[in-house]
Amino acid sequence: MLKLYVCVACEKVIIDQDGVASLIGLFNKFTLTLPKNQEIPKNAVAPKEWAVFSAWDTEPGDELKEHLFCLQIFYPDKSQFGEIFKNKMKVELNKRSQVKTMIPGFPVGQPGFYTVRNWIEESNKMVAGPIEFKMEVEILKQEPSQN
Amino acid sequence: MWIDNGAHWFFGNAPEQWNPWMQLLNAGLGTYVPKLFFALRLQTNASVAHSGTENFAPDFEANRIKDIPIAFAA
Repeated sequence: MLKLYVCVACEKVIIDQDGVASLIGLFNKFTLTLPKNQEIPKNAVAPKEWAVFSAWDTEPGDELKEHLFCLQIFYPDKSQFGEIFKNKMKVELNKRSQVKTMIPGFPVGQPGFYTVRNWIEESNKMVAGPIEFKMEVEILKQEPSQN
Repeated sequence: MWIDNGAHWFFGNAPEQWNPWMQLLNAGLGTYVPKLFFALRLQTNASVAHSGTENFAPDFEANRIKDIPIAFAA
C-alpha cells in the first residue's frame, strides 16, 4: 500500500535524470491586483502554471497494481472547480514513487481559501488519502495608472 | 470574438465542470485567456524557524512575494 511521504504545491518541480526532485517556490497564496472598476468573473482563471508534487513510499506488490494520482480543487464556497486531474503513477519495486502534476492555471473567481484535495485511486477506489491543503486567493483593487 | 464575449458554451448544456479558460490553457493557448488584473503575486504566509549554528532569525515572518509581470488587457 502506498504511504504518503510528501505532498506540496509549488511553482516549479525539477526532476533530474536520477529522479532527484527540486521544488521551487512553495507558496500558498495568490494575490491579484485589479483595476478599481473591474469585477472578476466567477469562472475566472489566472493563467499561471503551478504544480503539486507528491511522493509515496511503496511496498512490495504495489508495482503490480495501477495507481492514479488524483487532484481536485474546491472554491471557498466548497463548489468544485474544473475536472479532477488524474495522473498515472509509475510504481517500481523498492523505489519511492514521485508524481508531478502540472496545473496550467488557478481559479480566482472567489476570494478566500480554496481547498486542494489529493488522493490515490486503484481500480476506481481511493486507496490513499485524501490529503488536503488550502490555497488562498486575495483580490486587491487599485486605480489604473496613467501611462 | 468568442473569447471577448465571455467564452460561453455554444449549444445545449456545457459539460459538468467545464471551464473555457482551462480548456484554452490545457490546449496551450494561455495567451488568449483574458488577464483582468494588473499583477499576480505568489506568496507564502508562513513563519520560518532556522536551525544550525547561525540561528539568526528564529521568528522571522516570511512573506515571500514574487511579482509576475502581466500585461493588462482590458
